[in-house]
Amino acid sequence: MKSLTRENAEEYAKKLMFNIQENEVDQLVKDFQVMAQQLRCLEKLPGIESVEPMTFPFENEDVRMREDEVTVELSREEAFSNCKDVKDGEVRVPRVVGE
Amino acid sequence: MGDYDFGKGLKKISEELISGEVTSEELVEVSLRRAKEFEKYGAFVTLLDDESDKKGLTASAEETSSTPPEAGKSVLTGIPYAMKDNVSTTGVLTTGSCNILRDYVPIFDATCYRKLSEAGAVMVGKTVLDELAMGGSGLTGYTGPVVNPWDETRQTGGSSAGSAVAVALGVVPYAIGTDTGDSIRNPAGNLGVVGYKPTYGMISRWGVFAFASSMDTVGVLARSVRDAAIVADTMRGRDELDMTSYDSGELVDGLDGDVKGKKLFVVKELAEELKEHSLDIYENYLETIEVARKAGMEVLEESVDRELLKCVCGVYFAISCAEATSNNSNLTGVIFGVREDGATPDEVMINTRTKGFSEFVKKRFVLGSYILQAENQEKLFKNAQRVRRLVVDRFNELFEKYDGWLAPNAMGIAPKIDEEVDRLSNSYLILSQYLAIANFGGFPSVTIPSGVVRNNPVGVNITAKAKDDAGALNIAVVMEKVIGFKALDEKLEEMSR
Repeated sequence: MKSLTRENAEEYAKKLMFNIQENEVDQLVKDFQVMAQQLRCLEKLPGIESVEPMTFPFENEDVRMREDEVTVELSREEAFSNCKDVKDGEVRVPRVVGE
Repeated sequence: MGDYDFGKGLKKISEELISGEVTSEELVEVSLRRAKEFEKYGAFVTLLDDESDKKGLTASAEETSSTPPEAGKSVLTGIPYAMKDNVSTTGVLTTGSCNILRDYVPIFDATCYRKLSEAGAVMVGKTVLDELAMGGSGLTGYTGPVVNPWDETRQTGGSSAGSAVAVALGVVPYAIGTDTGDSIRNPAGNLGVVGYKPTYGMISRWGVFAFASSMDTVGVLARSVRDAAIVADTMRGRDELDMTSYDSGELVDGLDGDVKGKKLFVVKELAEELKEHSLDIYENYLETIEVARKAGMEVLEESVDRELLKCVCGVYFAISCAEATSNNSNLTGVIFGVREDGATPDEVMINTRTKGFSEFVKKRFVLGSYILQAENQEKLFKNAQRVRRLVVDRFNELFEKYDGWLAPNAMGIAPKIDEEVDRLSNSYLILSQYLAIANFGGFPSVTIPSGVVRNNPVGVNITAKAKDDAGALNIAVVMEKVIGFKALDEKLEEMSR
């Protein structure tokens, strides 16, 4: 397992669309060492590769297809009610192309 | 109206409402008055009082679905309760205790909230959680730390910190929480109340802010096991809007108190760890084992591979951080939430997310992102999912032979505020995330108070096989009766003097 470097941490933060401070990066790299210790346990279990990954606690036996009906209607007004900048029925964001 | 004891039980409160001995308005008034009296404990993000209406934090009564119908419609009709602030409530501020959502007002109801409202339950406030339900300290919500009424120098635990404190302070008879790793049971144990995490899917997750979708569960904090069952009965059931939900049987009907011949197991390795770490809590745990025996149950020791138990912490963090990273990518500030300025759409998102998330949450997202990188997925994320299966298989094997697992609720009393907040820290015990095993397997898991150690409450936990909620609750209701925990009542009496 590769370590999390300062460069990685900064790169992932960038992809996650936030900035992290220098001291936050220090703490992250330090905390990673603890998590890495815990994660190494996972590799050590014999025969682990052959186990089927578990994505949900159990199979839901009650899965049914929904009828193809409109059940939730959201008005444009409602959809925009938490949006900070709306103009002419659209979400306004800064320009992406020049004047 | 003077003091009113919410600890008398929901059924009794409902009877008093029906007979006209009290009115819903009076009970709500008591709740709101106590919430204000205990403001310093920081349990609420929003109180549904006139002041909130004036600030525009809540919609008018006609617009919300929390208007009390006539008494007697259900046991919960007219009775106040508190809701964790990661559950969507139309017209009422819902922040997830995260700065990025500090002005977010949902436009639809979570199914659990809708069902409570339809039953006539009266929501009096939204409670503080650890930011976006990540963390177990009660210290990381943007409104400030939730204070432990038993010992103000100690953490409450979390993430359902405000809900647990609201119940422990007698502000409400019950509160709704969510539990992804132990977020209901951990604060319940620290504060001397009952914490019930139902089987995964028994209560719809629709409208609940997703943290780790494969483990998130809606549950209840209450003063008794019976009250927790009554509330869960109101919220449970298959929901077309949550494909993981299912129809379960009635819970309260199963609380017949007949546990003769039931078999419980204790995990030897965890008991050894507890003995080494906290001898006084270990002794309390041994007493609870005797309680179970006295109630007619057989309690046997079983062994679980220590190497497997050591992995539980890593599995929990790998899966929860990875799922959280993905689930929270919608928090951009563009369509909803607090928006920061920027010269480009990307800058808007970056500035919003930089200011909107605390360092604590950003750390989890970065670690989640690391785990999900193509080169790490197989060895980290998928291995975590594989070990999850091994752990669940082992406990399912045990549940073939036993009716339940009796575990200490924690390896210590509530930690000091200045102790490590984060379980990623080095000082955190490797075997102490074991309550998350119930989330791995979707098992029902209920914590009841079992005594007071070093002036702080401790709890015992009963976990059963998936969908045997009635069985787990029935064992808990019997043990609760034999234990006869009175310390919270005494504490509340002392506080009211």
